[in-house]
Amino acid sequence: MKSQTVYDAKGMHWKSIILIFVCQLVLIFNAPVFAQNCPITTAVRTICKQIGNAEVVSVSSPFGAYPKSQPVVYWHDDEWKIDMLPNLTSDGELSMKITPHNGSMKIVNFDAVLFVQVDSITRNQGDGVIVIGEPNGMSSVFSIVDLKLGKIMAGGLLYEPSISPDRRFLLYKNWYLPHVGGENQYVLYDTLKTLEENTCGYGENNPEYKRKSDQIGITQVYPYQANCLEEEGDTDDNNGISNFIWSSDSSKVVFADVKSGIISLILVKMPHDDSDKNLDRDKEHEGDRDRGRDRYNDRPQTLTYKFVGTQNVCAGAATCDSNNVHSIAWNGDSVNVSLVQANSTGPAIVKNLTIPLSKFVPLAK
Amino acid sequence: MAGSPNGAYNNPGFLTFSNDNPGFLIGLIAISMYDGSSGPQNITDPAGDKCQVIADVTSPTGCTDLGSDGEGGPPPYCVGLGGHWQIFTCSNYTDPSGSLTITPVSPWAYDVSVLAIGGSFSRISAIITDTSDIKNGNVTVNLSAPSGTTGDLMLDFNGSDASGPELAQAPFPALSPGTQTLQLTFDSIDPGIYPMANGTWDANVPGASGVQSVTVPDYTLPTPWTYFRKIFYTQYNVPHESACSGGDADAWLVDTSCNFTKIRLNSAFITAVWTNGTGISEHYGTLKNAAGVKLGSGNGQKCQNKYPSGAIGSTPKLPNGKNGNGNTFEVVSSITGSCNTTLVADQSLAAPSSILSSVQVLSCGDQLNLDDGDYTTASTRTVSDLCPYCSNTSPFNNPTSPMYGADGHIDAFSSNPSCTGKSVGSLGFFYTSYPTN
Repeated sequence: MKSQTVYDAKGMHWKSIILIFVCQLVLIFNAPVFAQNCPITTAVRTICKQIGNAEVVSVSSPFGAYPKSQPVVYWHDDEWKIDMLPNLTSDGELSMKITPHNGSMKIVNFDAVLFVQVDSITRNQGDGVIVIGEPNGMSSVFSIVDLKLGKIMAGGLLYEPSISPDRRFLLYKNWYLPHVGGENQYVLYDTLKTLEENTCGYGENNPEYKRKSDQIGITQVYPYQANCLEEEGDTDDNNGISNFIWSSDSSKVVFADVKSGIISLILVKMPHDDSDKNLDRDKEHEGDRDRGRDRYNDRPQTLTYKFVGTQNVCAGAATCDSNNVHSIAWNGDSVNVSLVQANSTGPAIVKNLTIPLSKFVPLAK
Repeated sequence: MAGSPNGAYNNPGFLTFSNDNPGFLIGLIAISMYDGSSGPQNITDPAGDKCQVIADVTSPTGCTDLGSDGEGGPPPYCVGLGGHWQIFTCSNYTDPSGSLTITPVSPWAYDVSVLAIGGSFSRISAIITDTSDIKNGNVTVNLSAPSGTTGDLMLDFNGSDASGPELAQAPFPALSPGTQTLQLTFDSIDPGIYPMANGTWDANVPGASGVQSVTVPDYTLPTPWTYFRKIFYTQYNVPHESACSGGDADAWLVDTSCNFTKIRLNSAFITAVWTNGTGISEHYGTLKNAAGVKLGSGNGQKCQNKYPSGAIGSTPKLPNGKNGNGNTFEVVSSITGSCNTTLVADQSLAAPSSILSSVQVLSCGDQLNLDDGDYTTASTRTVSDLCPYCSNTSPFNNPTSPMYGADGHIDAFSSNPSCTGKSVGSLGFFYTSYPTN
């Protein structure tokens, strides 16, 4: 990412508009070219980014009401211009216009109930985009769209989606009825694979998975599922307490989860080393550094590190949540984590720890 | 205060007066120095209150360089009544008998004697008088001091959160005497339960060279202020089939014995009910998501493996890539939340199942005061439902999330019958307190 500009535009009146105008004049002389053109839509937070040669505009909705029209959201690069259209179809659906550099324009419509607003469009490494939207203020929804076909290839309801820096992977929490509850299950979607290839058990010669219609397109990276089944005796109380922290090369991601009052770091190694992506999954090619992992076994790997003993900052505490995790950051082959322990007699105790990746334990298989 | 200083002529000197209004004292003494020297003076009182000399005054005589360093002035020596003047103060003077002892400090004990003492006394005080609207950040204080006084007030709210003791400080710069309602800066007050407040007023009194630090006495709030700070309120509704457009599709009704009945419902309505949990159909009454009432087809659900072909009791990802949803519902008699009370539009809310904002778990029937930051009540809502997902705190730290910067998340029940969430939206951020009285 080269630049990012964020605008809050709730409740603007003429003074605000003048201020923004002045700010934009300032930006003309002080900011990258794209920032000065960052569109402002009332009632949403607009985020303008330049990703490589692409100009990208996305939004979030912290102010309550959705704007009457779909706010400006697009991905423009040298090959594709993908824009959300402001108006609904006659069926009340949002529409996305796909314009290739050479070729004919296509329109993709999204389900009227599930997509009341599209927040972002992110092109993957190929000719696909990850579209993230909202059905309401709480849940999220995604669609994988094939740009050449102009067709939705996969998608569904989810919570807290996170796209890897290389824009290949989508990591999210599974959706459940928010008022009924459910544990956090973390799902990884590889946008360079098909829906079927993303299904748990694909290629593992396990006929069981094919019967589970609710698992098609699902690769749950945590908690562990033996044979794509929920772990026996699981207390179903996993709860994510941090954001997903991707390594800059997108080869791995780490986050914090709490279960039964114990915080763990969850490390997920992506299916391949991104540095040899053009050669990946090619057994015959000597340049493929991980060619031992073929198309069927090219699965994400999950490892965990539990904070126990003196590192258990939740011991005896009434709560154990994101307030106990101050920060998580990559540090080469280690993870720096700053944990916070409540202290009934004084200031909270901060524990800064460095966890080498060698200390992480693979999930049981 | 009826000051009646009758002078003090010995070492130590004494001052007596009637003290009918305990608080902060300010006064003036005159000290004669027969050898031309001066020195720091300690002023104490029998009750041990905190007193200190705060200024040297050289007028009206011609003495010079009579600072607190104790240097005497050059000849002619300062003698007689035109000696050394000092303003003194006593913070929180509470002795009703009204007496002070003035004792020169070594090495000046034999060089300095108090010849006279006098002056007028006035009271400086800062008192919290009203917190009945603290749920909207309003606190009333009464500041007493001589005209022209101004000073910075720091209110300290002492309490606790789920992790232990909590101290929240609210600064108010350059306050003048009088009764005034102060507005707390919502963001600077940490979430917690605050039963007591006190503080300090650093008053700059005209004629005094230093700051007079006045203690704000402990104030016990009539009801402890439980403050959750910045809560993000999403909204959920009960969509009406009559508000949905488009064609019909197959759906199923399931009862608690896992009997299934195939019906037809508007296809958008099916999705809307599945996503929201509850909906009102045109022909079958109020419907609930089967998985939400444990009659779904997933693991641990009562009707697992009993679903007929075409009935879906979970949230699938369909092979064609479309976003899937269930199509099986239970008919219920009323719209109730987890508290087993009927949900009231624009009044009920669903609270997280765990501790909100590191303060406490909300209970059914709890009332919350919502303030959008303008120091008035925007609305009052009652806990009538649970929202387990609202316990997820990670979105609060995610800059791309609408909830970024929140301390908590609550889902409010909306009367909007819309088939989609577009016109329902969210309520946004509110500074939230409990209780409301």
